[in-house]
Amino acid sequence: MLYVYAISDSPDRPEVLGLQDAALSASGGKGLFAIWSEHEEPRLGADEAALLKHERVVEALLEKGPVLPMRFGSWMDDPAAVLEMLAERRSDFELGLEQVRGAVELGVRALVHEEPAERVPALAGADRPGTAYMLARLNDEKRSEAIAAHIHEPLRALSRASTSRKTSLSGSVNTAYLVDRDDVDPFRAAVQKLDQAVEDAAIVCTGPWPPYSFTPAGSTP
Amino acid sequence: MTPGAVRDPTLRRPVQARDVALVDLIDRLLDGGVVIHGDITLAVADVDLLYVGLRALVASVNTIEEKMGVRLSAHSDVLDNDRLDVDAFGSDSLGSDSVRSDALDSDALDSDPFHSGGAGG
Repeated sequence: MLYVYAISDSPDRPEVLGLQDAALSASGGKGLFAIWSEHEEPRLGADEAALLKHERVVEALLEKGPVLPMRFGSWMDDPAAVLEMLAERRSDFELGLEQVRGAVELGVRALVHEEPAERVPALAGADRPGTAYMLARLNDEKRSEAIAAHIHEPLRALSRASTSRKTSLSGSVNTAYLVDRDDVDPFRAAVQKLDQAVEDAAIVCTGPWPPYSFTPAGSTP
Repeated sequence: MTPGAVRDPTLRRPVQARDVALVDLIDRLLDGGVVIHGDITLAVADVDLLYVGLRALVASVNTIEEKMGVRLSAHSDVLDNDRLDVDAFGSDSLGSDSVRSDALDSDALDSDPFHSGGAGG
């Protein structure tokens, strides 16, 4: 079985080894390729080492050119299956590669500080703990939304695209931005400036990442 | 980091920064990227993934709290690091036997690429 790391516009493989220290191979043609390694069985522990190895391959590819990273755990039967997948989704992949060419993903996370209940006017009329709780959560949501909008404005101007990522912490913001390589430093500086300016939240910039959040949707049937 | 290069940052960042980044990395690897098969597995491996994410999140809570001066943990049983038995999640691989439920011990897992308790990796 083949473990697939990424879609690329080039068959050139970086000099890193893949999962289980397997050598990298490429399949494809006419400017569209998939990078993979071969393994006996499609089993791997979803442990930190495997995740980091997948990521290391993808980042090494990113150093050379545009890349559409695969989701972790993408297996295919054989090179023929890979060629079939590439053929089926060629136009999506070609468009996707052009959209990320010369860019990286930067993550922006904001953690909104809790507002003490005494400072929330809406809670003044709450007569029961349950009501107070719900009003406090509503207040948190509104503050989050306001802060998210405030953060997004300057960063939108410095990026090609953006998309929200899921966040499990309430009162937090998690957004991915697709940023030209040349704009990475200005973007990070802008995030730092926001962090200093916005008192109610801690804002950090993570990455650069390969463009995991900006790959074409859809799947091979 | 120079603008033109992306040099293996996950392996060269200082450990503390890497702890925080691990949450973001795992999130992207497992929830982002190109999907080949629509039913990507993980109907079965959802629980495994939960542990992958949870372990990394727990490991990074302290770091985030220190760095940002906010309190994330509600001091619940789950997030209370003093009580948390990290070994329950397995030191080398996630989803060890001690947290595996009967629902996961099925034949269907043999062909599942996320079978983290078995061989390989």
